[in-house]
Amino acid sequence: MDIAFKKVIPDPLKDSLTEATFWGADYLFEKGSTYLVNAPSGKGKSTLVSYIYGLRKDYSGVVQFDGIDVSGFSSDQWADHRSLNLSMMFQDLRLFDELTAIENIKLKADLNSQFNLSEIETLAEELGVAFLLNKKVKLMSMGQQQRIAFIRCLVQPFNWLLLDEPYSHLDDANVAIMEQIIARYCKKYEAGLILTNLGKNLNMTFQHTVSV
Amino acid sequence: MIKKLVLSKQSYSQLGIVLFGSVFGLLLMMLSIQLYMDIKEAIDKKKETIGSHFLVLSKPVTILNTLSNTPSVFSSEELEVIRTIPGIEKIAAFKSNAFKAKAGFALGGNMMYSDMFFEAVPEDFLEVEPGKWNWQNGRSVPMILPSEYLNLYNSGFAPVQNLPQISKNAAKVSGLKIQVSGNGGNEEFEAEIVAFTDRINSILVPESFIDYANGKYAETKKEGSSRVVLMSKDPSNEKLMKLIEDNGYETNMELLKSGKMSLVLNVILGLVLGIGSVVVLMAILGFIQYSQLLINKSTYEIRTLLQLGYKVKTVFVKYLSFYTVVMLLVFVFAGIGLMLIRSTLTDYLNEKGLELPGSVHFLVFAVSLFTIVLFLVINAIGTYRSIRKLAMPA
Repeated sequence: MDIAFKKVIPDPLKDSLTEATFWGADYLFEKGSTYLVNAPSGKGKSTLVSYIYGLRKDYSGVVQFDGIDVSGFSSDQWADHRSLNLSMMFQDLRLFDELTAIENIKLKADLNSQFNLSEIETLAEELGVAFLLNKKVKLMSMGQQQRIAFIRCLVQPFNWLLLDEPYSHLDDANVAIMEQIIARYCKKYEAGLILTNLGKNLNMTFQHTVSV
Repeated sequence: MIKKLVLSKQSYSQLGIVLFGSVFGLLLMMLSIQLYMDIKEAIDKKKETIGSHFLVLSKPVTILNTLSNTPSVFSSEELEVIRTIPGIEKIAAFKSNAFKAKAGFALGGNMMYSDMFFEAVPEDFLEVEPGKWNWQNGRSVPMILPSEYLNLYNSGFAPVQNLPQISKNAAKVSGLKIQVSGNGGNEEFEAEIVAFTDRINSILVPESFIDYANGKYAETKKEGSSRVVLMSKDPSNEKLMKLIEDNGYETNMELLKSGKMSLVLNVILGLVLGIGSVVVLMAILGFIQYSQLLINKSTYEIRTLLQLGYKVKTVFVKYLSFYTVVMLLVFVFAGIGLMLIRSTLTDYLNEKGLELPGSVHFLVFAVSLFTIVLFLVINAIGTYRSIRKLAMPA
């Protein structure tokens, strides 16, 4: 699935935008490619992924999935995209504090029947959070929560993996582990990747860099 | 797990208050409808006992009657005056016995005899099963007794005399005998009670029996009657009321009273129904507010579930099933309350001699079920809208 941005301008940037960069121009995210979104704070990195994931529609212009304008999608259509097509790791994680890590992950896995516990456990081992699976999320550090949220976005099939500042609370060693897993899963699903980053040193090479 | 998430932000004290209000309102509504039906049926049944528009008039008794030992009776002129009042359909004088009579009851194995009097009115003033009210020599004598007599016996006489109390049905099957004497002869008849009435304060037997026994055993011939029964389209008609007042006739005002009483009761029950409906309405509003509050408190949970890919319908069903269970509970509690209050009331009224029909009326269930479904639909629409709002991109 290709994702096209056509002269999209977020309402909050409408007045401050002097020249067309990414915003206000046409841009195509091609199926199966990897994109790094680079920008300082406040320039709309999260906004970009929010528009793709259908969380916000405060923009002018058109966002299309394979040529279809997403502004007409019903809530059920968005639900289908979010459980089969798009997987997103939110910048603010959006975990349920009162539930345990495994309950949080299962909540996502329950949307599709193809994920089993052993796969979740393997991922948790790799990321060094296996011992936390039965602990409530509110008792974890931000770095631990970030890795749980990361596992959660992998327990569904996807065409696009949208990661919004996924490394913000992680050390370099953990970043490297996560990059390997990202590469593995994108290959598994032949999926595209859009990753936003704020000044972290990355080992992974991206096919495209988007500056907003 | 979804259920746990979206329903975890309950405020149990608020839910309790709303629940209490709903149960209370629904109970008031059910009770008023039920009692309305009960009273209507009870009054209808009472009317059936002797027909709907019968009135018994008696001549007033003065000290002169007592001193002269001559009963005051209706003259044929007086009867004619009453007969000409518009709306009066028929009128008949009571016939009474001029022979000596005793009735025997089997009580605790012994026959107990007591002096008796009998009266008769034409059969078309009574609503008894055809055939039961015919008497021919050789058959047992059917009798209609005032309910008051049995009450008097059960509550006054029996406990003091150490005798068993008798229910209406038992009284109907217990063996009765009537001894008639006079003119130097006597005769014994089998007798049976076929009905109890609240309307005519007398011991009624068929006219044919009075005629037969009067003819054979009466020593003096009686003239006139001190009581008449009349049938009117409208017993509370003004001319009749004026005549009764002017002549000082005594009457069983019960029918008139019960007519007025049922009017008063209907007004009161209407009021209770009104209050019940208002309370139910407020409870529904309270519930809608509560469910909005619950959704507002769970905004993060609902929104996040939808963002993970859950459908509006999936989340909505969790709320709907919760409200359905809550409303069923309300229905059950109100139903239990209704049964309890009603059985207490039935016992109380039975003691007072008013019988309520047995079952809870169908209409009560229909109306309360309708109310509950109405609540669910209103609440479901509101809840669905709120959830859908959270699902759409901002």
